[in-house]
Amino acid sequence: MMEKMSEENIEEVLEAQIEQLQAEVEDLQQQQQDNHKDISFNLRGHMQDAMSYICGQKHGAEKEKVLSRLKEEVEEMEEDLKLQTRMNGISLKSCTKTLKKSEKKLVQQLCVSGVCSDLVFQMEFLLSAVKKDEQLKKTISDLNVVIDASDLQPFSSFLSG
Amino acid sequence: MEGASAKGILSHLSLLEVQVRSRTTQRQQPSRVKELQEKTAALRKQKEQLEAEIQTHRTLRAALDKRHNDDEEEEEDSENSDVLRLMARHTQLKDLLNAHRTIGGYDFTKTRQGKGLCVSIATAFEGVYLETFNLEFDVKPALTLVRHDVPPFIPLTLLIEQSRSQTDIWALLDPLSRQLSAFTARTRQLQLLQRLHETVEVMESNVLCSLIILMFKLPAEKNVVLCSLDYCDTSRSLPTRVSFQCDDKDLPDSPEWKKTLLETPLHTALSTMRSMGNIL
Repeated sequence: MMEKMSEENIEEVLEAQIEQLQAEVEDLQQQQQDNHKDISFNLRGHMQDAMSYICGQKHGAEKEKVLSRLKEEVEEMEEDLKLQTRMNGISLKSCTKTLKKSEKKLVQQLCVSGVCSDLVFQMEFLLSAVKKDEQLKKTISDLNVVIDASDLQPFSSFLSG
Repeated sequence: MEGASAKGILSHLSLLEVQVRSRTTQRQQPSRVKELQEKTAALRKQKEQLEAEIQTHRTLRAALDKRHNDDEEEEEDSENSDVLRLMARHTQLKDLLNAHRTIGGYDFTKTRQGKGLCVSIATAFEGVYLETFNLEFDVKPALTLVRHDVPPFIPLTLLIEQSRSQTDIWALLDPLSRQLSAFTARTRQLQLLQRLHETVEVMESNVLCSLIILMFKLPAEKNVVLCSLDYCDTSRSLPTRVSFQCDDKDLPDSPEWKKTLLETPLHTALSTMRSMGNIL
């Protein structure tokens, strides 16, 4: 009789814990959904592997592999960035924010700041990509440009002031 | 005698039955507890994985927003901080490369272990991205064009000749980009014209879109006007010469129309002319 009662107790305690955990997991899943809408983190390939490793889905032995593959990819990207910077003569610092994402439309705000020759500039604009008849139509709107230079006359037609 | 022993046997059997049933229920209870314990453990694991993912997202987000804080880094699990640092750098680089591509300029890619160089030239008009054209060069011994998808009516060979005396690649890419941008801009204006102004008929246009002949209908006299647009400078998206032909030789508004057509994109110019009642 006593045994039966304590077992029932254990069951009740466990069931209560499960209910609480389920609620917490649902909450976290909602946060995860919101995070996934941020397209800056559309993780693929080695980045996805690294994420899986951090979430404990892979074992410790895998860490070296994950680390070395990701490092290689990052080094390639650094080289690529150096090339673009050198060839285009523009050195950039940038930030992208996703504003709206639906099945057919993606709107991002890009804030780009950088240096070109001796010109320091900042600009922001909206980039909209709409899927229409299997074609992707990309548009720029709401462009704001700010330049820091001694002589702004040549640029006055497209500066924001 | 039989009755007494039968009762005895029956009650004995009942007792045995009860014992068996209670033993079975007792066996079920531990397995139910075990089931619940397994479920709890699974949920805890799921919770930990989600928390790790969300925390990583937060780190990546901070790296992008440049809210990178050295103190924050030390607080993290030192076992994973090297992976996180790499992931953060990856995210930043991807963002910057995306920005380079988006703001125009040319997209350069090294190929064939550095022996080749691919360049993509993007074109756009009125905020809308249009076609992209690609060129592939051999880098050594000298920069030589190997492959491209530039249309044949663009004077690529001429531009290469003109840039040969110069050492850097922009001597070729800049004028080429101007020609390509102007070409896609003119094509786009023609497309928009056909979509927005069905009353205007396109009589003729060449592949380069450097010569366009349109037919306007005049409102009052039901006359028609032929309008010729000459884009003599193919590096521009606006015409260099506009002329009209009409049965009624007196077109009072034609100097204004010329100005509009020379200074604004084609579809916009026609919208202006139609809204002012000049043409149908």
